[in-house]
Amino acid sequence: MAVHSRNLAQVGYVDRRFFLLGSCRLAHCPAELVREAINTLTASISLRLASMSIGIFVPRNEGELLRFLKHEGSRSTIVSGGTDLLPRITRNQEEPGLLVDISRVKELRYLKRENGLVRVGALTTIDDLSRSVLLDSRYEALRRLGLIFGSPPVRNLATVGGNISAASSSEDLIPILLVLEADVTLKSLASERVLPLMEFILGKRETSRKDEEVVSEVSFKEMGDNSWCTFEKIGRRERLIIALVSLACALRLDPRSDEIQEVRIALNRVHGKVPERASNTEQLLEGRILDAELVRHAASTLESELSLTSDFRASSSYRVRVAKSFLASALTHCRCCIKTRGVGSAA
Amino acid sequence: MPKKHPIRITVNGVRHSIEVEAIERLIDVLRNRLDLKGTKEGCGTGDCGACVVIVDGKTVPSCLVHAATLDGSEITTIEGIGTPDRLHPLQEAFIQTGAVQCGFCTPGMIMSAKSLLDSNSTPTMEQIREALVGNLCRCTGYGRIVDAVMIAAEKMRSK
Repeated sequence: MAVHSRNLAQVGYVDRRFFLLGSCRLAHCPAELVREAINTLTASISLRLASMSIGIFVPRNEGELLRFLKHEGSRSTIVSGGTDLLPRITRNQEEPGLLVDISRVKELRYLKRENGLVRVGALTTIDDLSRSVLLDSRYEALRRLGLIFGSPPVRNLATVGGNISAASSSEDLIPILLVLEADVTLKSLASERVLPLMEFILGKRETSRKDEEVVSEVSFKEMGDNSWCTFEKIGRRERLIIALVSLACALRLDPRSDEIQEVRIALNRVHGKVPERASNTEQLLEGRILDAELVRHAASTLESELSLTSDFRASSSYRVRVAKSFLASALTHCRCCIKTRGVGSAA
Repeated sequence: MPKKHPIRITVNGVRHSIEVEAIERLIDVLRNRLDLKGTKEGCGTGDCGACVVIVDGKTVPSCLVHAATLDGSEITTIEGIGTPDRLHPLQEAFIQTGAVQCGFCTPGMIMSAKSLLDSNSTPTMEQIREALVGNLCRCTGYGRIVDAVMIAAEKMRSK
């Protein structure tokens, strides 16, 4: 069958370009034709984007950003790393009229420890966060993001503020910040307010940010001694994948008696389609001695607490089985780390 | 809102002053305005790594970066790391091991590998695989690509 580059482009499978390329090879397509097909298909995304009437504002500092949002916030969409929004625009899932690309607002990119708090600027990238020397081994959950979050180039772009603002079950950072009981700072020209992350996320892709506000910071209390937090995630492959199930666990334990002093558990989905804490399971565990029997009991409490739905990615029964298994391994892992390394490991 | 945004960027050591459209991406600037066709666009959503370039020392998918935000940035593309007469050790190693078949993923692979070798001159196989996790290859397979990066690392150490 003769393969023409124009036909290939007309197929419209822009996202299946590699597949098309493979077809060209199978059809013994001349190299020149393959090259032409690639150029035609590549141009199609550029042309489609060029045909959209999207404006962009690139503020240079926080003052410029806040002044702009005060007047234009209602018709603007804020973008930082672009790893979530740009693919949505490319796939025609979203067509914002006006973008505010805040990636040049350097004041919002920092990570510091201050007065018992870890303060993370909203433009801190996932790469910055996962490599920070300020977060020692107890923050294993955050350090693991350097392996399991997207890919290295994506981690260099994706930001903390962007991840929480995307407010969906596929955002790996949210369950971790939930167990660290993080607060979100929202800034506008006139005011600044701080609210718990749980209250910031209202639903899927829905947050309590007002039009004139920007997420400026995420902060959480430093972990004490005898504490550990971990994160587990499963997808259809090991890397570069949306979580089918993810679970974050933060534990404070008496290493001598194994008594749980504080425990927080969050999953990418508990009831709805956004990450939440598993509060019934937390209540069951708190103050008890962490042993194999309690872990089994906690897993069955978690099962009764979860109300998950099946979708094209996985069935609800699969998700529940994995969640129970993650809970057991996370509790055991945290306990083990606290007993062997956690004591006095504060950097 | 201005339709055009003036930016000054340095690409492979050459300075350019250009006016970009609001929604123009870095890959559009590289391929369409600067005629640097080495960088390829695969998925357009940051998943395949074919368009990876180095911006201010960090690898990024150029399909996800607004060109208007790049004023003052230094960008390195596949054209900037070697010439046909004087190939980069990574380019030599890719040829030597046969790590190139259709070649579509190769520029992104090499930029990701370069970024790894710039910060780690003695990577393990596992570290190479992790560094290339965001670069998909649909025909050569990854074995020879990982071998090529290993060989390039050795060459660069012995220089």
